[in-house]
Amino acid sequence: MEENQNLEENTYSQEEVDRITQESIESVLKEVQYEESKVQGWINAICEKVTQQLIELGKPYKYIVHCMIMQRNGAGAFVTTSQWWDTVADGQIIISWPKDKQAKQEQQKNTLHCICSVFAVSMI
Amino acid sequence: MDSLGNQVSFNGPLKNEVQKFVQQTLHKELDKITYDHTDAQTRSNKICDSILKQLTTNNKNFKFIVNCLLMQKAECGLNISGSCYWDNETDGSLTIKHETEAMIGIVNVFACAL
Repeated sequence: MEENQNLEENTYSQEEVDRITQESIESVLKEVQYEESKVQGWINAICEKVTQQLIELGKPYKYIVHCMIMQRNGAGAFVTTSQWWDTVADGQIIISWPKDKQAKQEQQKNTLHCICSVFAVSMI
Repeated sequence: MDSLGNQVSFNGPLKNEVQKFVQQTLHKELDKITYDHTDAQTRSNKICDSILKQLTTNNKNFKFIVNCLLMQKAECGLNISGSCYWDNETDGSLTIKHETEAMIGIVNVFACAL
């Protein structure tokens, strides 16, 4: 029983991190249109919110939060990541916002696209 | 890079070596190439993998994350930011941008000491 508890305390939860990232992006970017003067502020807010909440989880992990906001103009872009780490203990979440279904439902003409990656590297 | 295999901190001579290598890789892969969405995925994978391979063959003291963005050059705004919660003495990151006529390549390398 104790071993299971220890395992839970020392591994991070994919769903939890997913939820934290989604909520942070939604809260900052909901119903905004791309504005050059404000983007830097939004992007810093997202990174800080996510990092703060991850630290509050209290797991023995180092975190890297990487956020990208791009104006929707029809240009193509590709993002790839490669990692050299412990595949059991470490992990990543990559969220692309908005998901196209979401945009159609809200009938919003989205002028921006956000890609947020969170990497969790185990310290033990 | 061989002589730097025993470095404990990413911030120092190791960072400079990595920077040189990443710049070379980007030059090699992106110069004189036009953006093609069908092979951009393969190209960015190749960039990531070759950088990661070079990093890991010589340095066993770190966990690495390599992030690559390839974007077609167009009239659009782009903002990127990163936030890291780690040990500032030993861990570090590097961001390299390479711009050509047809596209922009941005590579981030994050290193966490073991």
